[in-house]
Amino acid sequence: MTWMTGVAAGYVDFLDQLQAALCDRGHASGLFYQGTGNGTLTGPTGASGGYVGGTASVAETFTITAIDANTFSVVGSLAGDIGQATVGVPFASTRINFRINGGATAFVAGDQFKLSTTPRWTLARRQGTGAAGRFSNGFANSTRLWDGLVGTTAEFASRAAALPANAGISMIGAADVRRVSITTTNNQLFAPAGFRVEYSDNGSSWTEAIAYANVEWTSTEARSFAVPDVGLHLHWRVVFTASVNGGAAGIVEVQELRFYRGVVGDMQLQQRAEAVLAAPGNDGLDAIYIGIELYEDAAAAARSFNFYQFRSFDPLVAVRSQANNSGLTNVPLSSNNFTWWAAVNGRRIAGVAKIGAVYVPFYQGLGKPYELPSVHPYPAINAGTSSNEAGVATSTDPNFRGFSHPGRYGLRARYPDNVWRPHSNRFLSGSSETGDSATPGKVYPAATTNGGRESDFREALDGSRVLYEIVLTSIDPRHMWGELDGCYFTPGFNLVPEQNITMARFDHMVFQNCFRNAAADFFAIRQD
Amino acid sequence: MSYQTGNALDVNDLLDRFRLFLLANGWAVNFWGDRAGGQGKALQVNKGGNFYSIFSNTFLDSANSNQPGPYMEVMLHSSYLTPGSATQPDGTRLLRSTRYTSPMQAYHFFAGDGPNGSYAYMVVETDPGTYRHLGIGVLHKIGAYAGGAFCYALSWYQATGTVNSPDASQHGVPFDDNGIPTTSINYPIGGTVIRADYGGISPRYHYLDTGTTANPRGRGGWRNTNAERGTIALPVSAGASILTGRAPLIPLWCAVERGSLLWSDIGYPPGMRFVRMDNMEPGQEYPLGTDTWVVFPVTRKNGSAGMPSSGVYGYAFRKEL
Repeated sequence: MTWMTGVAAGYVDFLDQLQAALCDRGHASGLFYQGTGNGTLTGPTGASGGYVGGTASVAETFTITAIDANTFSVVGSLAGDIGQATVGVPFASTRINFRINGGATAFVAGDQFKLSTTPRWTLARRQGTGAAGRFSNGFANSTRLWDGLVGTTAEFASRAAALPANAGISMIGAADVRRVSITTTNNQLFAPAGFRVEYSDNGSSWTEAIAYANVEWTSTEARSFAVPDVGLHLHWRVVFTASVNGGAAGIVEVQELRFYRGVVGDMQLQQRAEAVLAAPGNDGLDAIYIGIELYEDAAAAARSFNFYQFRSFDPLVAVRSQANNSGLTNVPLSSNNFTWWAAVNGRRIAGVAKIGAVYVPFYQGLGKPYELPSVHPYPAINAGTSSNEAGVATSTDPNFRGFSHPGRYGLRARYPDNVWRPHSNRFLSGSSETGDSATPGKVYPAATTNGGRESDFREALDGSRVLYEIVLTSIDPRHMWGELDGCYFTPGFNLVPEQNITMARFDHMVFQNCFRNAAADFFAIRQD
Repeated sequence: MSYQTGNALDVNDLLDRFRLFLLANGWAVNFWGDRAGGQGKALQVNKGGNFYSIFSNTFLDSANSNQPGPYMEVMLHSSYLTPGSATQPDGTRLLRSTRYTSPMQAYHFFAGDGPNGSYAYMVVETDPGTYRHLGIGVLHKIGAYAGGAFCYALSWYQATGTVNSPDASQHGVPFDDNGIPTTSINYPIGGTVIRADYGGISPRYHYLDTGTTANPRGRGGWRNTNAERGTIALPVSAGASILTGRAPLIPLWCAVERGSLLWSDIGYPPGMRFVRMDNMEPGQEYPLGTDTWVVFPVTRKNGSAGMPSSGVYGYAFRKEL
């Protein structure tokens, strides 16, 4: 579906919904019409911009031509003739889905829509867990198992005073644990002499993968134990059954417990939850990687997507360690229900999550560069709302801003020299928010100068709305990067979020920049 | 024909050649002849209900050595009444382009039709490498309003220390608001005036200059980054890539004051763009899709000390053949 909307039951459900929307079927965009009738082409339910691909969509263009006032032929450039669409009736296929709606002026033979499709996005990775997915039974101070801290004093240890005790992870996606690492304390008597590694797909029925007995340790030792290949599973745990000093009646102390994916590499599944999506490009031949780390800090009510992008994807490496990645941009979300909107094609997703009354924008994927593809072959943009991985939507930080008018540093763009550069229009100087003159990357026209002077424009003289391309610029190195795809700056005078601006036969939904609603703080996303 | 190049003997000859060019492009001539009350010729034309007067002026004005003649001058008015005169119904002030030394090296005329009206621009190479600009037309309008007609002229202040300072406010630069207003110096200089009616005032003219009490102000350009100045300063500062060499052509957005420190975009001139000339030479052609644009400096590219210099500021004009 090109223009999508939904209600997510928390940030993990948002990931589920995005994954389904992106990866379960292809997408359609680039609607064009020429003809006499003034009807519309919409999604199957009549939603503006809701036309959608299917499970078998490929990169091709459909020509939808009126045979008479009520009937259209549907011909794909690769699929050929796939049937006829009737006005007012949803057209369904595995390649493309839409509905043509009659207007006040009837269609005549020869009236023609064109619509392009792209294949489904693919899920390259979904695994790991955050704080909410790490569990233990029988361990005191169990957060010490996962904190990455090792020492020789008691405050680094987590103790199970009675055995058996267990600790493990419930992940956002199934993965194969092939190694478990245990770090003991300097009290060798409390080291685990016996334990077993178990897995589960429902979190309640567990199966043993391997058991270890009579294990001997030195003081404060970190040791990996192999796990056989038992497939991909959502839940994994280590059940401690005996200690060195007391056997099954003893006490076990552990400093760190780690679950590694695969037999090589350093990908620790207990560290964080992450996913990697790959967009196919509008030609279906690309792999545009978008990495998402899920961040959670329940005490701070922080639940976020932290986006990364990278040109190539190493399956043995965590998202944040991928080569030449963009660095993170944060999109604060919620554990409660929230509404979201997104426009998708084969190259990018641009959307907004509404957390309470705050509109949190994001743009992930390729933009529209001013250079030729031979000069700027991978024009990627990673845009969230800041570079603080623990961001919250209730923030009033000057840097908490979206792509139309970003702060430090919620927008990073990849330049022709393969360098990711941040863009910032505003920041906090002293006690007041002001234009960011120190960052060479700027976003026009929300900023009109290198010093980040804010746009002070309102609507046209006749009251009609104006949509401006959102242009990325840099003065060091000097370069005009190009534009965001399907996103527009619009002056915010007399404008409210979720209002539609109809222009060039498209609806454009208006949003404000996070919590801000001054003239320079509005943008619109084309529903196409 | 919508592009023409050639040589002119002097400002009178230049204006005569521009007259023939306008006639060939469908403009109607209300008057062509001696200027009333001045030294030079008058060409008064209209198209699409928009009226313009263009004058040559052979007065050298030796008393004003920093804005010397000969001149080309232009104004906008709502209808035509008096032959050869700069006094016309609802006429704007004269905009003056300075120092058209003879013999001129070359002229380049461009004409075409924008979505809201026709335009005609002249670029004149007065001395080798030094250029002047003058034009008339109708903006590619944003929103529906009465007006959109504009005219512009380039004047360049010749004083030492200013002549090679591209951002100096003494220069009257088309579609840039950093020039001082004619009203503060009591003689015509260059700049831009645009008609955009609203608020019950008709006609309502907007001068793009540093004046604060105009009717009300117009805004555009790149040379001033202060509050409520300029519209394209940011893309101009980034506009010629040192990574790739490419310099995008930037529309010359214009705006008018609406009160409460807010402005409304009214459009941009068709067939004319700003371009940074870091990597280009005067007269160079710039292919863009199926179009060809031709690039000229605002006055002179990176002139040496004591010479006119507009730095890397330039205009690109769409060349239709």
